[in-house]
Amino acid sequence: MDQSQEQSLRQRVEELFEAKKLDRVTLESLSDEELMLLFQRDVRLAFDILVQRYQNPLMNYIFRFTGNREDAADLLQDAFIRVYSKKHLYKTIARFSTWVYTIAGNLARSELRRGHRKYLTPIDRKRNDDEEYAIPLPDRDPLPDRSANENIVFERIQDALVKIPEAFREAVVLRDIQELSYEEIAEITGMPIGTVKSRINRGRLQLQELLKDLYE
Amino acid sequence: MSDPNDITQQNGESPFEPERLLKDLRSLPKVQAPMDFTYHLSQSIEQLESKERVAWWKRPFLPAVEGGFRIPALAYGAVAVMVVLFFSVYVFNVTDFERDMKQEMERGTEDRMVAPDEQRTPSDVSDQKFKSKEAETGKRDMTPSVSRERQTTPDAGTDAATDVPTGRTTAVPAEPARQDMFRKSEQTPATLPAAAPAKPQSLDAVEEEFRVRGFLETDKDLRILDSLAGDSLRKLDSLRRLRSAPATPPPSGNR
Repeated sequence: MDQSQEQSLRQRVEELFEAKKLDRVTLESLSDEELMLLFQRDVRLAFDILVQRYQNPLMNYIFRFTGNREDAADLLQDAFIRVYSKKHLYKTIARFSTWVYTIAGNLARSELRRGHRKYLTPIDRKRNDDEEYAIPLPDRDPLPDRSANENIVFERIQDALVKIPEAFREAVVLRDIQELSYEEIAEITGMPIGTVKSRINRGRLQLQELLKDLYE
Repeated sequence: MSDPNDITQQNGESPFEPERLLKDLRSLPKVQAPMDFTYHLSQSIEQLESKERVAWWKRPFLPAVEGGFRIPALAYGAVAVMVVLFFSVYVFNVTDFERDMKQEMERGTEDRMVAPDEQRTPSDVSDQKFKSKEAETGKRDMTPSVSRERQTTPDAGTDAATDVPTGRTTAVPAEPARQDMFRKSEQTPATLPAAAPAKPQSLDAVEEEFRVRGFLETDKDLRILDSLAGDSLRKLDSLRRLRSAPATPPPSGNR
């Protein structure tokens, strides 16, 4: 966003604020950045609308990244609390979606590093022929409205996603699941666009390798 | 599906786009937030705001959940012990008598020139008693007094080896250093250095007083303790403390 756009944005918010047109219908028609400007002026309704807009996409992103539903819900709450308490740090130069995805991604990465064993600790058991193998415990998301076959495929994809490295996983989730642009992903991850594309490529290759029996 | 901004293509690297995989990734079901998410979020925000409203002086006494940073009880105990130690060692360790002696030492020579009749001290009172006893027994009165201290010089009236007053008197000297007076009160005559600097007779008198009272190591006969034994004990204690205090150089006129 350039300075002229930012200036017009602020002007429009100023007019709304002075006119006290702060009802839900009016606010729902505003952009994320305008809502954030209003929220910085302590308009709580603006924050509620932003939560409404981003709670599901962020939940999906965090869940696909961590593979655990309960943790994803906690991290989502932490992300919005951080948005609430650090609202003064947001600058309208950057898009709000980039900012909130960055917060969520940082929290998810920290949680993964802190509880890495929680996600990867296997349970070893012996088969009848005394051969040991590890059984990972993925979080299963029951989907009764889909066919059993589709559910199996989705579960296999999610299992494969948590097995590839974090950096590749994040890039693949943001690009292929959240459908963000390369520029946005580059801003969220703080990496150059070339690195982002390289990571997406390599992530897809590893997924393909892990799911080769599914796609042969 | 080629991206015109794709750098990998510009570098000759073809993007890996497995169609089936990409199709499945995009059709993955969207996981949604829990139904009561906004309710729990509002509660968390309310809790956060209430933490911020806690007064700063309450925070050390509240747990972290309520916005405080409770200081462990051990810290309070440690601080209390330190305060008690400080007061017991540095504040209450100084006796009243020691304070009075320090103040007296800091006064000018005019105080020391006061005639004996004008100022009576407990040692004066005890001096009188010993004088009466000496008169009875016929022994020499070796008891010094504060009044005599003021009228003698250190050089003329002291034995160089033992600093015992010999009884000779001369003209009124300059004021001796008070701290020097009491520095040797704990030393026996044998341990005094031969080349020790001459002390004013007042110091000798005081030393003699303590020797007579029997509170110093001595091979002389102990005199009968007077009724002010408690006061003497305090004096001795204070003198020892003063001795350990840093010495002030004696005035040059005393040498």
